[in-house]
Amino acid sequence: MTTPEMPLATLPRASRVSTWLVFGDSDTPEAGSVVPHDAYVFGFGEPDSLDEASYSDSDARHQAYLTRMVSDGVVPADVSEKARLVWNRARNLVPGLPVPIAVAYDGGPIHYTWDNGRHQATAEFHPGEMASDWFITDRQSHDYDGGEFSTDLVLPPTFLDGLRHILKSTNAG
Amino acid sequence: MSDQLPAEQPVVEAPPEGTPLPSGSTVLRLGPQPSLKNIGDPGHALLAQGKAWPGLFAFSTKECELVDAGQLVRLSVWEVSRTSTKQAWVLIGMNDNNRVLLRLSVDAIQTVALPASVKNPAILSLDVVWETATQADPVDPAKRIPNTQPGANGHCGIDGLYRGDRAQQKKLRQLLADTVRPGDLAVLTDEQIASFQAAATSA
Repeated sequence: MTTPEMPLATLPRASRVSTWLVFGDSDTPEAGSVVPHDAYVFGFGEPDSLDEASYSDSDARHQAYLTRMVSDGVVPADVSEKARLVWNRARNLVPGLPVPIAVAYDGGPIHYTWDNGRHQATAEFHPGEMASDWFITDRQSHDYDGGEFSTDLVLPPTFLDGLRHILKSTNAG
Repeated sequence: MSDQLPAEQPVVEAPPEGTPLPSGSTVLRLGPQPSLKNIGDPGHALLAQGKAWPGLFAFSTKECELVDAGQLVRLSVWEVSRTSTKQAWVLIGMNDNNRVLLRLSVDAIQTVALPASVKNPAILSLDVVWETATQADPVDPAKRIPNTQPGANGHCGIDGLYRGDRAQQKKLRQLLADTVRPGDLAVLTDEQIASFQAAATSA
């Protein structure tokens, strides 16, 4: 997919948040600088996410956790950034999705779980070129599915459906 | 979980490697990973409620690489009549952050199974087998040698988590986490860690 470059200041609010996430805390570009291609694509064309740009306290704590896992030397930076990217895409595409239960292992992976009794979803992020993967299951029907994320970490529709089920259960509960 | 630790047993030989544990056995999991400090906030809330989740049973990236290379990797656990909590804590390195303690029923673990599927015709199930505890050779640290410290003879492994495709492996892990009963998960307290340290230092 090719997209024209666009100055930061002209991007919608959610997209500005998205590019901040891609660059990371310490390397946020100045307004007016050109957004790299991959950052520009992220979040674009998802108008439903615009109202969800503000971060809750729990989200802020989770973002800090991902940063700390790198600064403490627990996982390589790319593992944390993969997790951050998937979480931010998930919360943009499934507004209201709870912060995942996150566990980091020395050297990787970071493991995410969302669980609401009936439905469970997990995602696992490994360093380097090792595949990161996702999983969803329904304890009632015993159905389950899973697979690897693509290298650009686009969230597969089946995984998103699983997250929406979790959110539905959360709201119902 | 009860704070009562099992009495330490005299050292006896562990059964042969790979032998399944008998029905009625209980094992404890006090892995070096995940470390308590590496668990995010929602996880701490679950720990406070005594609830387990699959992330407590994940393989490290290094272990995943071994699995991908076709090596047999088991999830480390300790049989409670041979290994006390204190001994397990010492054996995994006496780290303040190794505090997530799970008590697991071998019978419950053995009920975890997945039916055959089109992609994988085998029936996948879990078991708990005896596994020799090892440590780095002091002469050649690249080598592993049998660990003969007190409690090492209770070392076992949950076998089968590497079988099947990735989705099946994750389903097995979810079912394994679901075997943890309320009250069978605890976080070791500062007092318990201090008592373990004191006992290890005086030994």
